[in-house]
Amino acid sequence: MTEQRADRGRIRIRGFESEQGETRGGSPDGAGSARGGSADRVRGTRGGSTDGETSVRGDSRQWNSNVQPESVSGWRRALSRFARNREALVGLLIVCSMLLVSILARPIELWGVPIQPVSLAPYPPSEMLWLTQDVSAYDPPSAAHPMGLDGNGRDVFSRVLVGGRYSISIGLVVVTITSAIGIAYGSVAGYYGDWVDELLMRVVDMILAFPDLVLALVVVALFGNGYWQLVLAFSLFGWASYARVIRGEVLEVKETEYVVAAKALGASDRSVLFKHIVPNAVPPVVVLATLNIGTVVIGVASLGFLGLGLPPATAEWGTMLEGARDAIVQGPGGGIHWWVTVFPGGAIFAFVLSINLIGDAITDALDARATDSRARFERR
Amino acid sequence: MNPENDRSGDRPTRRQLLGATGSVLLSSAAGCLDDDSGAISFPLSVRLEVDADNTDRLAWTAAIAQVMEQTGYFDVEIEQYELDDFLERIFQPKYATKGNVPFLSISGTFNPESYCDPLHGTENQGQCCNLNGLGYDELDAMIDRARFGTEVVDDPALRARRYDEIWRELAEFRGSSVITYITEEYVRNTDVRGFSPYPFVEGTLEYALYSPADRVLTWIDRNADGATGDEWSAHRSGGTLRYGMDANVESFDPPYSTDIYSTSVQSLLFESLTTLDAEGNVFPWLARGYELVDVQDVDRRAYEPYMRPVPTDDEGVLEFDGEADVQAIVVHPDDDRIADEEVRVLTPADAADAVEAGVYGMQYRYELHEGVTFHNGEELTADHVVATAKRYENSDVAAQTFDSVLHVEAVDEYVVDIYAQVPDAEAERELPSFRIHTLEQAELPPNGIDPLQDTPPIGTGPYEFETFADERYFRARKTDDYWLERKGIDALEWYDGPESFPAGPVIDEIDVEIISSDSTRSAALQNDEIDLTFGLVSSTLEEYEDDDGYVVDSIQGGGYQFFQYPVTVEPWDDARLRRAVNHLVPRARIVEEVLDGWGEPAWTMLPKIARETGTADYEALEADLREKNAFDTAAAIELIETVIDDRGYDSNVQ
Amino acid sequence: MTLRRYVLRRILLIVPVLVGVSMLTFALVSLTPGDPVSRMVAQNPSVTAAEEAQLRAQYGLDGPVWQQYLTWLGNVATGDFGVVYGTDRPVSAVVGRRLPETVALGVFGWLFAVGIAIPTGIYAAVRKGSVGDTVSRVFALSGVSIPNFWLGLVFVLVFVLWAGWWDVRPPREPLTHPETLWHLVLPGVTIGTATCASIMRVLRTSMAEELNEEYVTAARAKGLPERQIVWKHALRNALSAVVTVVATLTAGIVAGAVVVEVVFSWPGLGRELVEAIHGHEINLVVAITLLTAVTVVVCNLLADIIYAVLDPRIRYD
Repeated sequence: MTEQRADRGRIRIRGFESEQGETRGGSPDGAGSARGGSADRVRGTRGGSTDGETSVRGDSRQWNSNVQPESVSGWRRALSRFARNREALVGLLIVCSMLLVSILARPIELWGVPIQPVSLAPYPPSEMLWLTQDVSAYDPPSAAHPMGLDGNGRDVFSRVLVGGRYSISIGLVVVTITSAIGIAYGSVAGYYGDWVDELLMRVVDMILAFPDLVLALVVVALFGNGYWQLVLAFSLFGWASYARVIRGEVLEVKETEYVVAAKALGASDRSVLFKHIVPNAVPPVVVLATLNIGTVVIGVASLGFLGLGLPPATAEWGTMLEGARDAIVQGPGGGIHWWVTVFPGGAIFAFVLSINLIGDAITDALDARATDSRARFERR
Repeated sequence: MNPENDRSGDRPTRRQLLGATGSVLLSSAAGCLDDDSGAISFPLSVRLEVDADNTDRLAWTAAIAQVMEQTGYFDVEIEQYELDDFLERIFQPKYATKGNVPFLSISGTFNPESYCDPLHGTENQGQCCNLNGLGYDELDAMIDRARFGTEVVDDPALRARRYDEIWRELAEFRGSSVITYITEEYVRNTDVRGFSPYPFVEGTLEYALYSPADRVLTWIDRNADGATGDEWSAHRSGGTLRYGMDANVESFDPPYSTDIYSTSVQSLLFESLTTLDAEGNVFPWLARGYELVDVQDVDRRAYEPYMRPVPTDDEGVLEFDGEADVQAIVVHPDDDRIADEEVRVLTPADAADAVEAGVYGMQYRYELHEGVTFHNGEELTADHVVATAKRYENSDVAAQTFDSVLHVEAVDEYVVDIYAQVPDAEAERELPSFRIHTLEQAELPPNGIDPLQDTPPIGTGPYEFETFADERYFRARKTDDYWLERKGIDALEWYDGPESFPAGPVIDEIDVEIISSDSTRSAALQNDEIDLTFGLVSSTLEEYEDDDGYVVDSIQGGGYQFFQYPVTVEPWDDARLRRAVNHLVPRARIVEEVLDGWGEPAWTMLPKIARETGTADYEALEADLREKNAFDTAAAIELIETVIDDRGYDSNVQ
Repeated sequence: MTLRRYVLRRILLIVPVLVGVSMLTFALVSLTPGDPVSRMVAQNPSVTAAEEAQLRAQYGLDGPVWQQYLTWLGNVATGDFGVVYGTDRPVSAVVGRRLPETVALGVFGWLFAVGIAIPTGIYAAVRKGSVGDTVSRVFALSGVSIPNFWLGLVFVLVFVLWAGWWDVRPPREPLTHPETLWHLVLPGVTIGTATCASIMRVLRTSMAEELNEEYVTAARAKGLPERQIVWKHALRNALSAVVTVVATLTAGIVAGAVVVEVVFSWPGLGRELVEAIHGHEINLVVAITLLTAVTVVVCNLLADIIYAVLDPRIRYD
């Protein structure tokens, strides 16, 4: 349940409910929770309890148990539900194999020490093969070069394999950084409420007003392009959507009796916040983070395509597409070098699609868990 | 005299760069500069630097890096920059000490000097384009002696021989390696007839549309069943030429634009006193005729009595007292802008005094055609030339203008004198380069001629400005009352061709489409949305050539692709190492693979267009130098081994 | 609280956000090495030190940061974003010329997204599990997973180059001309695809939930026609879930404009932004960034108001 809904709930529930919801200091202009293509999915598919529904029923807040609701069995149930989801398993398989392949594509050395000796890619990704072999730029796919050669006579297959390294690792690093910052920020805002919340969430509103790609472009413009600059570009402001989501969750969880009880028993703010509240608020963040990996991968590729990502010769999927852009049009009667465009583009698509499948499945699984726990409370 | 700049409008001039030095622009150039003062050992770490804008250049930089790596003697790293960042970075004088190898291209002129001086002249370090600081006085003197002085002004053969010595010396010294000559390929559909490209992109539109000197005339024939062939006598009038250009027209203000796209479009609207044919021969144009009145054997020190002291700041910027925007025509050759607190400067007013007192290098006299009118009806007089020259002061092109021009003076209504600073074998081409403005527009501030700010350009050219949509298109319409058409082709006294040759371009409208993406431009050409374009992806050119519906015209321009060695940094101070790396440049393969055959490997530093004046015997020159530029890994390794042995460097190369 | 009061309050509340947005933008400008004057001086070295100081004073750059911010804000509020360094043209004029093109593209993308997503989303929810539902699910999932620049490239390849249904270049007619509108189709569809897919997903879920509600069951029991139940009651409620993601989707469209305009050579603000970044035209970058953010904030506000109007269950006391 995102902060958004909490807000909507606040406006809506008036008159139906006690003033309890009103005192939260929710953001009145809280439209637009997470951004990118993922927020809608967070909300949309988790809508097991959309606002409309809850307010009509007038029983929106079911968290009145004195038992900690997130039981181990809830997680286990979610996991088993996830495991039964075939689409999700296919997605997971694709993501894992792409990850593995990109790691094994070329040997990895750290400070001169080889830590990964395998080399799946037949050629170094930036080697111009016309210097050493009897090949030419734009040779079509063949047995020796299953994805053909690009405009510089480099092996597209090798480049696609290695390309995952940049996109995927940036995605993972960014999501790790942003979710960590977002969780901390959002929990503080949600837990302390009042003016702290008001102030912190105004900052989030402000950041969310900028489309992430535009902010990333500006950051790249300021700091130049390169791997860490890209990480910075997507991390600097990317945490805001997490902050918003987690705050919404915290607002809900903190009103539950077990938290109130913990506080009454004299637990410190920090221990209440991180021992009781945050773990319970994490599920939506997991969904958001998963989907966000996909968003970041597309974002990195978009910057690469605009020529503002990694240096032009880099074997990053989006950057490869930038080079391919001038190659999609041939002279009169010429064939199209489709392989230069299709393979890197297909790699991005396959990866992001798989991530989305996984994200959807996690959502479903967590819904099942939540529904289930709610059912238990209702029964009680 | 400037590095080629494919995209943006800022071709750095000396002045600009001097000013920019030290001030921090938005720069991503955060590279770490390993100045390994430690022991030199092989494999040698080298950093090649290149701009990211030109994909072909990137490709051969990577190829050369790969070859270097494969010898085992080098650890190569390639660093890429945005073009603007790159130019700013490499033009800093201290760049020379960084020990990097920059890759760039240079676009010269018909003047052979433009192919040796910018890269090697000591004066050009940190300005253009002596990036890695050859402080080679002997060479400077050779270059100077080949252009300036009465000896070479009077004796072209002597001049050619002096250049030959320079090319041979450069091949020995090897401060830079030239990779390919720049060629330009124009693709047109067969509706465009008679087209002929010019060696410089910025001159092509003007030249191809109408050049009586070479009897070049482009016309449009939309009838597919019409006769084919490019002979001008078959021409017909009217129609619209749709020209696809890959960058925006940044500016319509001649002295405030240096990029080839703006210059190219402006050439439709504005004219100069003289014009050039495709070989660089000068013909009077707005001038009915011109003559060299006087030559005096002076050097720039002769102006000392007329100079005034001007303080400079740390960056070498002249701080004129109170008055802004004073052009420094000559800075005393013994003074140093950066090192000295104060330098002696000849201002325009001082130059007038010097000329008054009879001190000047050359005096050219131009007699203008009477009855030449601007698009607004104003009649051209000598005052227009003087006013225009004044507007060129302190402009973006001031550096290349006032390296030769001393003073411009109206003699009477239709006669104007242009004085050169010193006897200069290039003066005939260089002096009258002003694009003549109306009196009103000559008073405008920098960038003041701008149709988007309600000041459309007004010139004497055959076309008038019609519309401009920023970054989209530009349209020019044939003017109703072109002066040459009114006067007839006989008004060109030098013209000796058939009288039936038109007295102006015959196409009614020029429609310039600005399409930055090469593939989109190619698609637009095939979709019949444009008629003519250039700079398409080289791998598609052959398909155009094989198709009956298109014609490809390829021309070698005045420029080449090169890289420079850090000659002042050990071990690159050893010429043998530089020669070795030069042997690792697979020129022929690069042309074949990267340019798909649409290019020409450069065995000398002298492109075709400058061979007339730049060498006594080109064949002999190329025969001599070709060997030194051969792709020969074994020879390279042998040279490197000698260097290692001689200098006692460590080597871990097996 | 009446609806009017709510709207009024909501409008007042975006003021602090706008101020924050301007501060963030200004912070980005300030992060840039060198101030505008030193950049100007770099372009024109004949400027003397005294003139430089005078320029600084004129631009308010000699005071403390907060004062600089206020000066800047004052200029921006009057539409003065400074000039483009390369050409000395006012930034506001450049932005003004490009803005309608991007707005047209964005609106077209929106219309496409809504026009396709609402019927499909409803169909999918009503016929859950049918072939049509599966197809639309696959479409929606692909739509959110496909990079829009790649989709655009594929469209260009197929519809412009192979089929020849569109010209490569946008026509020169004004935006309202049918030819221009026709030309908007491909970029519009490209930019709208992700939005469309998102709306479909939200709508399918929320609609399916609405149809399980007690009031729907009750209505069915009363014998109301299914069509009326779906279109009049359930849709209205389900749409409010869509409205909540409007701001997100608007941000997505604005970001999409950057990429799509480059792919289709559409002369809008997005392409201008990319070129401004390549050309280091910081004033232009700032103006476009700020405009983008303000657009999102305003759309956000509109969405909230629409939401309040749309949802019958909101009561204002």
